[in-house]
Amino acid sequence: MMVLSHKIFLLLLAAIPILTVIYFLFRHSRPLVVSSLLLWSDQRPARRSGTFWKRMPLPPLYFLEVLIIIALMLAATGPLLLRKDAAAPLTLVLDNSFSMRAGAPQSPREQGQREISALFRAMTGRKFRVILAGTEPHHLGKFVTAAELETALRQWTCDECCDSVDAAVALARRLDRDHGSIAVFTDRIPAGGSDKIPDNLSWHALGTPDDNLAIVNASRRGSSGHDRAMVILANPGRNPGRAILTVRFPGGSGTPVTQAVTLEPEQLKKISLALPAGTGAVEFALSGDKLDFDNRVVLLPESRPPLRTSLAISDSRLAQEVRRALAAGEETVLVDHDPILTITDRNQLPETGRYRLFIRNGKTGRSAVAPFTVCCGHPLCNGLDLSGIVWGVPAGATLPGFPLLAAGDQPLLTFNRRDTGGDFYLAFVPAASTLQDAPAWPILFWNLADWLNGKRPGSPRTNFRCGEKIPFNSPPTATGEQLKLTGNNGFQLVLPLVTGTQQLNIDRPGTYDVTAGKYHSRLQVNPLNYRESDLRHCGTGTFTGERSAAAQQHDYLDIAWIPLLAALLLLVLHQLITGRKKHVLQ
Amino acid sequence: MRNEYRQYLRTGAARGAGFALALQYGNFNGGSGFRLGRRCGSSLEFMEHRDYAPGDDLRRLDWNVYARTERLTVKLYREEINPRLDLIVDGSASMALPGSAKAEAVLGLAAFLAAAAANAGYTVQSWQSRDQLEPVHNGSGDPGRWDHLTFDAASSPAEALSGFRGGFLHQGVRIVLSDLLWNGLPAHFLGKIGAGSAGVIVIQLLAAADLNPGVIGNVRLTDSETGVAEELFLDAPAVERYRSALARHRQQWSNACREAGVMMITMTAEELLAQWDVQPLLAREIIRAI
Repeated sequence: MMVLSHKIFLLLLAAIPILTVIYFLFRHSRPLVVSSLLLWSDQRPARRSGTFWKRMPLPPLYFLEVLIIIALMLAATGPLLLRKDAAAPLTLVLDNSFSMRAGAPQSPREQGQREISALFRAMTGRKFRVILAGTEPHHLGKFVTAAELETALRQWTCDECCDSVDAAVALARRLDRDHGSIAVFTDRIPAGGSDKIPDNLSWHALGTPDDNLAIVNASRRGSSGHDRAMVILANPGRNPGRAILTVRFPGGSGTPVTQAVTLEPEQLKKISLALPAGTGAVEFALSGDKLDFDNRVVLLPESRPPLRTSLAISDSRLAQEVRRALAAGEETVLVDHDPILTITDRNQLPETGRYRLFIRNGKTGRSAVAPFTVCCGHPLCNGLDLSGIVWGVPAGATLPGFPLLAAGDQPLLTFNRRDTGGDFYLAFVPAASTLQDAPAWPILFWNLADWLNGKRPGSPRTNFRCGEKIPFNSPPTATGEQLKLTGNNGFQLVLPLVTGTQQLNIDRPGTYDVTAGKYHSRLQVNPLNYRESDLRHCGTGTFTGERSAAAQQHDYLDIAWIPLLAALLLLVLHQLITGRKKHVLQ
Repeated sequence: MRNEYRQYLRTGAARGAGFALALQYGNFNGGSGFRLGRRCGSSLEFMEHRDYAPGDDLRRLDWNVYARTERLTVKLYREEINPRLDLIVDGSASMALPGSAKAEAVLGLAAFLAAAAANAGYTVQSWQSRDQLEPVHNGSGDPGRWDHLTFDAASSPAEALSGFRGGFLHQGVRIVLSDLLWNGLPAHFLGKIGAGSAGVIVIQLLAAADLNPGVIGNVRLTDSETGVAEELFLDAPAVERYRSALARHRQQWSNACREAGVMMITMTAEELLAQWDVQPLLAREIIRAI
């Protein structure tokens, strides 16, 4: 394939019509009637008289000069020929998000497949690299034959909840050291339009702006015999949308329920459903539209039990405040034996639980006010608002461990890790505090319970978004075993089980069975992404950036000398012909 | 016939009214007439004496001379003739060359000469050469009444004359008005036109465009008579070559006329019509003012 590095010189083609006009004017004969041709017999014939070639409207010299102009123009435009052997592969960055399925069977994905096939036919022999831009870029490898590319494109399933086109482009540049060409196939026009296309990049936008009703969020919560499911419907479109929402119970625990929903443009509608205890999976489905992928979610029951907690607090007021805080969160259950968390106001405690919270309260204390120093990255401090709080600190209290919360140089909350758990130390005098009357007090205990719940074997939740990092705590009894992940969509993953927490990356929706030794649980991954469901920003067009000089030099062979040499040869031929004609005329 | 042609006929006749044909040819043989010929005849006009030769009419012997000199002397008298003029007008298409005044000039000059001839007592018959040499309708009368004169023939006067069998006035004067631009032997034409005539005058009437084409560049030349076209590139040398060819052509005709005893005059149509300058005819004593 040949490209022109200086296309501006194509304007030299304008010389051809100018040359034609000159020839026409020069060869145009004026009509003249004479008395007799008798006296004109000894004259030089006109340019257009004589043999067939000479009587042509334009002489062969004209065509020779046209060829010279074309050859000079080609030489000036700097033609570059693709070096098939040394060329960096053309990297195909394929948007693998589910919005590429909109409008099937004429979806952007199908159009992209056709364009890639045409591109492959036009560049036969060149290597193609394929990177799927899903939740994360996936490099599928380099391919030369059509069959290989066809096989690779079968993995372009467009079933991920978000795209990582930018990251995939960055990966492609890193792989080819900025020498290769990149072709992006997506459904959205590039940010900044055609003016900000980077070098060596061609952006093929294949989408169509459209309206779309979608389920953009879903969750399920169950505790103390209550089970609730909630979905958020959205209309990320420009026109009001109407659809039928159907709630099904795949386990057969109830009859399907339908409800008509109408959403104004950009409206969000939250729909909650109280479920009887023991309800199995619940499926929410919207009636079909251009994009089916975001019309269905399945919510499995959340089966996480509350945190077993015991109280060993002698101060009655403090005990009352702690019970009140624990009761507000529904994350704990008070037990007398085998607790996971023990809360006490004693200085020492036998290790009856894996986690202990020591509250240093004292009889008297001093009041600490803002500013407080908060370790924002720790889960215990998540959402903790201490504005206007007066914190009572016992006199002379010293807290061991890493401070998570402090007032000046006085630690208020610390954590000390142990092999089998950890100890929290809280300096708190209720009589000198307003903390127990603020939302931060139950939040602090809720954070504590949630964090400790999250450290139990398995995943902290059952229902996740597509592409969400799923933490998985290894069961202590499964050391040395393998973690097997099996989805109902054919997905299978086997990982070595490591001690502690590991992140599971599941970017395709479905129901997954998680097995680690004797441990077994189920996870549900749903396609929920407002941005992907918003088809307003889709567009169609091809946007091509400039070809960088370095890439051209690397990939292309400068063949400007060929038309230049041809022009010189044609010029010599032209001179020979014109010189011969002059000789004949003389 | 086009009205402007008739207008030029009238103009030419009016201009010729002040002139008379002044030809002094000796071979007029128009029978008894009213004009004195150059040969001996039977008029009362004495011509000369000469010695008697056997065969002379004895009635012409001048006995008074014999009485005085004892020599037989014959008394000769001038003959009385009736002079005739045949006007042959070239009717080929080249005489109506677009952009020139050749047709108007040739008609005006023919009418001029007819009027001058009438003033000199000539009997005038006008002809036009088309595919055949044809007498002009009303061609022996007033030029203003000549009719059916057109210039669209594809044949040259030589070709028209080749099939002509008689018809000219015997021993009359013949004047040919043509541009003489055809390919053929002038002597052949002059021999045929001069046969049985008292004299022939050829007046070559050319257009200014014939004398000076004045075009430069590529031209598509079309022969006005045959319609044949030819693409030529004309520059100053080419025009000069044309002028040389025209000069050679005229010289060829001039030589042929000299050899045949024919008077040849060249005139330019536009110059003639501009001021009716007939000085070339006066200079050659073809006409005289009256």
